[in-house]
Amino acid sequence: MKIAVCVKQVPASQDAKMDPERGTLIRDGAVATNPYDLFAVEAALRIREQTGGEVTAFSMGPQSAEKTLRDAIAMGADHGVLISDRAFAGADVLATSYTLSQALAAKGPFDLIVFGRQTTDGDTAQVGPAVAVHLGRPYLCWIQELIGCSEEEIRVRCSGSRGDLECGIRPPCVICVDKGIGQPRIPALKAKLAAKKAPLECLSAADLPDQDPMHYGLEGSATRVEKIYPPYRGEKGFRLQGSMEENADRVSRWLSLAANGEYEGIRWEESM
Amino acid sequence: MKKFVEAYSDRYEEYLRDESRYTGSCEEISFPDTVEAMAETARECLKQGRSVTVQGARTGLCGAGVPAGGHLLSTEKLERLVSVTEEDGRTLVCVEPGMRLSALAAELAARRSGAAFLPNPTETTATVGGAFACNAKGPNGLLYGSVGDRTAEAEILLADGTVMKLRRGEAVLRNGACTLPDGRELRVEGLPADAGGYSGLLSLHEGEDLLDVFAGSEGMLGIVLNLTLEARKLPSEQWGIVFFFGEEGDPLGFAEAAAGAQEEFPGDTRLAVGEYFHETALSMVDSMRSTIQGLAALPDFPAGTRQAVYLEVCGESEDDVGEALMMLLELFTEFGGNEDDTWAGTGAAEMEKFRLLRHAAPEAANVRVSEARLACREITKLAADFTAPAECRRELVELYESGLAGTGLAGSIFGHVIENRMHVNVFAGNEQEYRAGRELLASWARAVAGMGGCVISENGVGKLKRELLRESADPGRLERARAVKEFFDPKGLLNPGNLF
Repeated sequence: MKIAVCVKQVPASQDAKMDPERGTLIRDGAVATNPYDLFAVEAALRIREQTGGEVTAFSMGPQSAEKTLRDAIAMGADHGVLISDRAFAGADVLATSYTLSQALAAKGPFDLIVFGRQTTDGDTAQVGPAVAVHLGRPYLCWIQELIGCSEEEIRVRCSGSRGDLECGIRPPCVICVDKGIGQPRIPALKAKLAAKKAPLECLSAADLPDQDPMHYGLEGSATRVEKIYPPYRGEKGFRLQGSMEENADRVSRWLSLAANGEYEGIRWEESM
Repeated sequence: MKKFVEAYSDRYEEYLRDESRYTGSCEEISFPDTVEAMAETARECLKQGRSVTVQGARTGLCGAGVPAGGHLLSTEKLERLVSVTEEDGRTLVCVEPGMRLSALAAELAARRSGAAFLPNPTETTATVGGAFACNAKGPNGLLYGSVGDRTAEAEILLADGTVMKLRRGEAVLRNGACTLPDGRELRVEGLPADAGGYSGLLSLHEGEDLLDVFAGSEGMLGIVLNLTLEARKLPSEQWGIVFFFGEEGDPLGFAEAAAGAQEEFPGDTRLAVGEYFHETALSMVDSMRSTIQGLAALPDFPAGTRQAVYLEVCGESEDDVGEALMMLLELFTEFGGNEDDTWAGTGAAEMEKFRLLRHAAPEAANVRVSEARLACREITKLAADFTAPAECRRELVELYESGLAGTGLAGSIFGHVIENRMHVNVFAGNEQEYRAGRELLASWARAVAGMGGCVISENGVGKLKRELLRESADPGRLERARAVKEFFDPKGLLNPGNLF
């Protein structure tokens, strides 16, 4: 089976800054592979273990996104393709998914395209399904478990608003996996060292089938981000960190204070 | 000032113990929120002859911050970063004593200057003051030394109520004496030539900086008001590798060979961390994946894993570090490892997983002690961090293995294998086992002393290891420690009950 997995480099810190002019993230700090995409790579590798074939990792981003492709190769991916061009900068979900679909078409066709649930910078969870639509492929999202995989069918368990659903999807298709599929493997030293020197392919705008610049980057985007701000956080939550006995004592003390009308909120230091 | 001080009541019960589960008592407790308030509160107590125990985050492992009566002064509200300055190419960070190590790391990371406080005690919720008080090292002590080693200056409230500013290099013990910043002279008879592996009061030796005597003195010489720490630029290449060994492998032989191979590493490449997981520790960590936060995010260990060694390698050149890693991989297979049975990561985020694994070893032990205490309240943590000479690495582990097997007690062995400073925990389920465990620790202490090793390392003496110290330490060291304690705190009001 010919499998593609899409991975993205994201800011490692939650303190993201925004370019007020372009409405895009400023990516000048520490970066890391999107944590959800590690599960996508893991899913792709597990499927390859069952069906045979090869896994190609794709990443759209600046040259530094090479590191993310090398991470996927260290985990076990066979090839890496970097989709990088200044013309792609500032892309929203529509333009990103279109660019990815063009790159996948250029290097494909693929029997299976795997995405992580979402990225931790955009957080839309829409790119995977949008790529499926651009390519005219069926797709499944929120996959929590890979039940069985063959050339004919990928059988999975998905989570939904009304409970879990066990279903199958026939390749060629797109799947978006969640953390339930199993912990991503950690690369072995030899593989990690080899990945640093693995050859990568680079695709620019000139390599894509559609040559209309209006379909890429900021020009090809249907939306603009006006503002990025941290969500409002209510009263600070905390985890009780003592032993079971200590925690039970604390909760019981707070409850009896509340019962006597003496409860004035929990002191932060009491939770530790 | 009164607003910071309260009479002790049950709501503060958890302040009477630390991670060792040793429990003490106090009459009053205070939570000053400025160092001025802290100094004033302490002065008032000392003036009235009340003892003061300074307490950090209660992450200690030997009860050093647990009060033995008197006033308990918590530093938990003193968590500010006071200043960051550049001096002679160094980044100096002045912090209040209650700042957590994790908060310090986050503050420095947010500045994006690449500078970090490099000693990395695995318990990152510990306070800087607590880490200084026990002179904690952490796994990378191998390369970066202890918290005390990276302290440039300390402002300390002495028992007489005066404040002493102690700068590295300004007060050094020479010919058995040193002049304090206030002009007084401290004289200590019969100083040995070296620290003998000890910290703080026990390390007293010729040529020692007074700052290093205060670091590791468990709060017995003065109350730290703030500390100026030296941050350094992180190496550009950092790798963490877990080497897993099956039944046939020889992790101790590998660790020893890796330590030796370091001399042949190209360029400035060095081992920063060398940690060992005996099967007792690894299996305990594995069984607590769902209990210890973050551990569930690690994949399963390779099939057949019995023991492991975790190494961190760093340097400035990618090629040099790569070459050193290949040397280690060759050694790993030579000592029975399978090259696929490794986990490798680069940079802070990836290595964090491995550090979490390492920290899970003591965490798992603490969980087990807490569970045992539900059945028997007498039980406290039974642990030691003996340091043996490098040539006794295997002998030390065999000593622990045979002791555990002989008594039938469960245990956990892990720690700083390159420095041969390994942690051992003994688990008791009832009073009888607890007593047997104490005896076992004491017998190990005598054996380690016989090897020429050191029975007290980075976790300190506190109140739990006083007997161990008395039984195995050089009486001369104890005598000199008493004399210096007497000099700085003649009434014995600061952190009473520790050490002696």
